[in-house]
Amino acid sequence: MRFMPSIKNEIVNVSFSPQTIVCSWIKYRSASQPYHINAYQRFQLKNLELEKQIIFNPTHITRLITSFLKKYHLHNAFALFSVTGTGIFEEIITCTEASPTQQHFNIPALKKMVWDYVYLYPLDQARYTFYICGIPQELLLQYLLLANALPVNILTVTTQHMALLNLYRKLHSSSFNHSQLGVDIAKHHNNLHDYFTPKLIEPMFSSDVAINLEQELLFLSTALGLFIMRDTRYE
Amino acid sequence: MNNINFIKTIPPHRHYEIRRWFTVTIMLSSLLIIGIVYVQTMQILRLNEACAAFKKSQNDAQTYTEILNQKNELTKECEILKKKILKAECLTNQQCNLENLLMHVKEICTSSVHLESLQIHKKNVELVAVGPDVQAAFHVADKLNKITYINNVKIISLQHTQDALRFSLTCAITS
Repeated sequence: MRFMPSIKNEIVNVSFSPQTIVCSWIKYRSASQPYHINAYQRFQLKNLELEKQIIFNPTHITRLITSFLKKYHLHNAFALFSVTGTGIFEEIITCTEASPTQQHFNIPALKKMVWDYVYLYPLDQARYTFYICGIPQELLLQYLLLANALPVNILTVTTQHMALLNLYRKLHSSSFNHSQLGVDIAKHHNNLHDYFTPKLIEPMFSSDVAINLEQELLFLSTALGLFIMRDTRYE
Repeated sequence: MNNINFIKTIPPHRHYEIRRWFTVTIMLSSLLIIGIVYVQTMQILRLNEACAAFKKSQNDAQTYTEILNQKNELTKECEILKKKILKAECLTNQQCNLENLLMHVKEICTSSVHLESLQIHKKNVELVAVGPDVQAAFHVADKLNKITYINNVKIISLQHTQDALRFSLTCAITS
């Protein structure tokens, strides 16, 4: 047990998606090209270490993330986790309430989950669209135990979609409006990750490492979105 | 747009605040403890010094009591001695002292009267002398009577010898 936990003022993003873990270390640079990727690494999981977002082999996953942290001397950095996959509940729901409470969403699947919702865009006839996501409590506990096993200070556990929403908002910054978000989401059949193209993302960051943007677009977008989520300058 | 975070954590600035608070608290606590220990140590040292001084003063007080007792005894002795001296001086200065008495007896006993014996008791004197006649005996008795501290002079015997008269006198001495 550490007497006083050490802190390193760096943010490490870890994205858990089916059969893939992506670790990245991003820093804020300047207003014109705000984000600098210091490190980026994708680990492919081929032996069911992470299936339906359940961590079946925490030792291996811990080893992978620790190797990344060790390589870039990121011990005791702040960590942001994003999770996506079939084990996570994600849905875009229409509601008649503009400011609903959790009681308004009567979804049985969410009863045993830690869940939350966020307003996305308005629809016609006084209807509103919300993004709802939830994670089973035992799964959240697994991720928290994993974070505890790692030399990091966990700050966030969220979904990939939430990270992408943040990136979308950052991309539009002052011109962001919910109606346009609705149009863009509808245009891409509720798959926001299809919205981001290399052309759109490229001006946002610089990188020390060689990244194949075509291949890594989704993971990179998620990493950027995650970082933006915790970046106070964004607000 | 709100963010969804499945966990509630302390924001990074709070981490730093906690660290700062922790560090400052530990430092202040350490300083406080050091201060308390220092003050307590100083107080204990002062207390020890005070105890030592008290013990010393207690010893001094005992010595003082002894000296005081000694002094009182000596004072008493001195007073007794003074009384004795006073008494002796008083006796020496008295008119009725032995020296005066002998001087007076010597003066009384002229060439015609010879003193044979003189017995001085506490309150009276017995004198035996030899004179030519009775007149001499009366003369001696008169003279003794004239001495202030002698009274009640009595001729108790007259006895003729070959050519002289032996007479004895008694008198009382008043202080």
